[in-house]
Amino acid sequence: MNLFTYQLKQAFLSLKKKPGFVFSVISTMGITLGALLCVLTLAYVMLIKPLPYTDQERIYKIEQAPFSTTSNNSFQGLSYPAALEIYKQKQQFERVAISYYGEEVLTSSESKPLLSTSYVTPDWLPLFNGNMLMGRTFEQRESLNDFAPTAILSHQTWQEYFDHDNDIVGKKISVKGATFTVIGVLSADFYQPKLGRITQLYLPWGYNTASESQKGHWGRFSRSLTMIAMININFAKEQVEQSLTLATDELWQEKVSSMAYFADWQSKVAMTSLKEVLINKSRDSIYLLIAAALGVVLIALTNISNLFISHITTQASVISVHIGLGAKKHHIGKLILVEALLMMTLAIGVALAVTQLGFHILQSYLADVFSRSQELSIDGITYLLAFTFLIMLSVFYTKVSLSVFNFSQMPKNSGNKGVAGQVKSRVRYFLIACQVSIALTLIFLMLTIYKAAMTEIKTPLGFTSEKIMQLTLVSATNEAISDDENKSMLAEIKRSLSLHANIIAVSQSSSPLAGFRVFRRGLKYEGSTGEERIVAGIKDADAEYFSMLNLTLKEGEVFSKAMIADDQAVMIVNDVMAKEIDANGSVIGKRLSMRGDDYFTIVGVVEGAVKVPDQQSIVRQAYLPAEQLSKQFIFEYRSAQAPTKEVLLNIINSVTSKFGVFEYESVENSQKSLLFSQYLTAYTTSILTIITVVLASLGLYGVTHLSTQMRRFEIGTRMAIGAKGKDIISMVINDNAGAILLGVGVSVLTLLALYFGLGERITSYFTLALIPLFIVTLALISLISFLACYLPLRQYINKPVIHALKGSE
Amino acid sequence: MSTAILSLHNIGKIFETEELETHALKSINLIINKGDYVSISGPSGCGKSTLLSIMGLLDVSSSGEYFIEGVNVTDLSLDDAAEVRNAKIGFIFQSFNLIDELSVFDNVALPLRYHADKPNNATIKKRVTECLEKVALSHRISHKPNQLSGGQQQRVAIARALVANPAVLLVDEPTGNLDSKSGDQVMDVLDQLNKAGTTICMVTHDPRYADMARTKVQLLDGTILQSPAIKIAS
Repeated sequence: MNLFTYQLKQAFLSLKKKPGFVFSVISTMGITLGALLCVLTLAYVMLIKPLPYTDQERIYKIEQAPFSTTSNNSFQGLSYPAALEIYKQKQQFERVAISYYGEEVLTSSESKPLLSTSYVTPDWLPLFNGNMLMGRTFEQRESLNDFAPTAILSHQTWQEYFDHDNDIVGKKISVKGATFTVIGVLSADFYQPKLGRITQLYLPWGYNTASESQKGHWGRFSRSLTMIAMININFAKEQVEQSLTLATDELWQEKVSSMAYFADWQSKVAMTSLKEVLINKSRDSIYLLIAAALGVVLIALTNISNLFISHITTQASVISVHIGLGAKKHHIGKLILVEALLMMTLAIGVALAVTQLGFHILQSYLADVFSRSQELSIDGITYLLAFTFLIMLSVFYTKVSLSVFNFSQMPKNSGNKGVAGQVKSRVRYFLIACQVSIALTLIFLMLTIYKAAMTEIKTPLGFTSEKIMQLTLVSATNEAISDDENKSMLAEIKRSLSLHANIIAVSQSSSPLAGFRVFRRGLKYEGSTGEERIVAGIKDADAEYFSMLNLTLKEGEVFSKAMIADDQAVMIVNDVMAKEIDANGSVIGKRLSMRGDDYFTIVGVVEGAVKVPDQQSIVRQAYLPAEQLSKQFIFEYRSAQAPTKEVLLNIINSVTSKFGVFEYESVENSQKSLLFSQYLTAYTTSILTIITVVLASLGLYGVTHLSTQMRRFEIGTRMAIGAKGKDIISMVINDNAGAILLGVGVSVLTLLALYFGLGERITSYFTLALIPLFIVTLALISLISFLACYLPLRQYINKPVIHALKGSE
Repeated sequence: MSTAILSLHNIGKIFETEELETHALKSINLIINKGDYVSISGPSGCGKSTLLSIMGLLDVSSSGEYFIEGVNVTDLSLDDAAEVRNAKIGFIFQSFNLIDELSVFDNVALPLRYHADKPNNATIKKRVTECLEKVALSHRISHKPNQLSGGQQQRVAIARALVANPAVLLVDEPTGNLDSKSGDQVMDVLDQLNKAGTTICMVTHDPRYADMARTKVQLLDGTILQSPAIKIAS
């Protein structure tokens, strides 16, 4: 048996006698390191790891970025004609492709599923290494203006709707009234970039569903359009941007020149690397997660350091024997290192299991936030990090343990009773200051973020959401239906719904939570010079909308049935907007225009603003008469339970089989979905706060408990010569106050550094209103610190002095 | 007429565990008068240290009554007992019990810092210096305990015990951790203090040092063996 194996065996036997200590170390370090490994692997995948596409560093998303030359107004997006114009500039690209997202019913399938569809040009799939399981990808014959009726299925679609049909290539499918031939099925390992919805069916670009007006309008940007290109190896990004700007700006200005609003605008082309696009807004979340995980690990580190110190002081007599027999500091260090390595190896095992669980949670619930979460797996990076932690922590705990002993005095003291290692006051000071600063910083940050999330969750919606359902219909037929027929069917569906015993009222409007269209150019009111415009959110509503949602009418009237039927140019505004138009008088009868001389007359003013999550800044709100072609409904139900989807399908089928149900859920559920990230933030921060408080409490208690134990004879002596309980309490508090104050100081400096270092990203969270929260957090930490000082003393100050002095001789 | 400083009446002490009841002291009656120099000795486990702890209010008796300068201190609260210890009793421990982080001056000054009427700094300095002079260590006033020899540390402990002008010094095996030369020096200091009027009650198992006391109390199995020199409380 070599020396290491022998030491390993000795360490195992020694630790076997201390299951509580071993369990605490392995569980605490395992869970916290697992969280850190998970977050660091996520950071690597999201921020560092190259995308799994050939020459991924040359792949960019291309957009237009019009900007006003006289104000700070600007925005970014892509219009249909601009996309086609850029598409033509092929000399700068090795590959370029456009996609138009849509949703179509697979009418050839019995279940008529609604599929996410992408209408793409031929290079779309090759850009993303789209290998085929069978068949072929799109070719030039399916290019821009070619109408080759072909289709490619995603692997999942092939499995789910075509039952793994190995003979699918060459078969016909029906989508949107047209027949397409399946030419291929994508391979299971195709990694689809999350640029919007996950596509289930790819169709040639020529069949895209953009409206004619959209196709010709340079000023109308579409969220459905995405343009991706791999730039030629000989070109730099800036060169391509400049060249494309030159090619499109003049054309853009010419095409929008009729719109007065864009008179002083120019347009440039902006390219964002695909990697940056996929990182999107998740960078801050990742940094926050790293900070939180690091904080918790640091607290765990100080706690476990304390446990190691406590453990090693109980081994003092054994170590004294080793020293007496000639062992030097490095020999003792090796003994401790083997123990530390053994425990850290087990902790890393637990950490890897926790990491895997973390990946599962991220992939299941946070795929929308972290677009590359599907790439997460325990791989080389995770193992490398784990190994690094294993070595670093083992060495760290060995050093901490060794710091307890004064080796120059050990042999001299080894024969004395009661001479254990003493926690050096600077070690205690450091541990306490660390605990306090990390805990105070983390708890304050977590509570701040929690408060912000809860404020959003608790913000009243501004309307009654109880017992309101939202329903969206979808066309379920290949037939072309005229607008009049559609209107008639939809009106009949509305009438049938309202006749159901469990339904009180029906409105042919979208859910209030569907949000407002923001009219960036602003509305002009009659008589204004054209410069005075009111930027507002606009929504379509019908006669039933306002009463159903309990939106209080302050003045005038709501839309009548006649106004909706006749499509009258009327408008209802909220009181915030009314005040903006006329601060003192009535706005009824005033006229507002969205473009040109098409004026809407204000007929009513409603009270307050509807608060849509993510659109809370839109406080000026206006309503226009809803289109009778709208397939969106909301209705109020009577009994405790809303009508089931089957009941609704029966009602709709009693009118027509040409519509199916696309979406059906309560407004309250929709609100919860919209507030998902806020709920998630609130849960995560509250759990992290609790973990931090528990870990910090245990850590502070552990340090002071050990320190108090080590000072037992001193405490006994002081009491023997006349110190009272309160004298001892104030002595311990005074001794620790410096470390606590240092911790508070470091925390304040850290928060200030964050405030000034992160600037705007954090200033929205940090306001003076948080001072009371900081005081509460400080009070919490002070209370924890006080209890940590007081509780370990009780065993001495509440008993006769002899208990503290036992063994001192 | 002699003035009783400590007066113990039928003091008993029982240590109880779940399975065992040990009678450490059985009906101890003892009076120590002002100016006495009493040694308590006996074999290991006879109850010497337990008796000293009760006399020093470090522990409470299971039965009997205890008076210090005529005041019944049997059932004092922990805080009241602390006040009495501070004002009336000076302790000298076998292992010195000095506080390593404090200088010699601060160690000696400690009882005055806990005094009910805490003296001002000038008074503290004067008293500490006087006491250190008594033990011939005024030149070590700024040193830390670990810079002193064992004998010097014990003399610092004696100075600390004297600083608050206690009614009695309770001394527990003062030479237990010292070599014979240092032990002799410490015993000389105690002898001189007693000659100067300090009342001393010392626990020792060393017959040579026990003989230095003017009154010797022999304990055996928690009971005082009768001796002509012992004053028994009536």
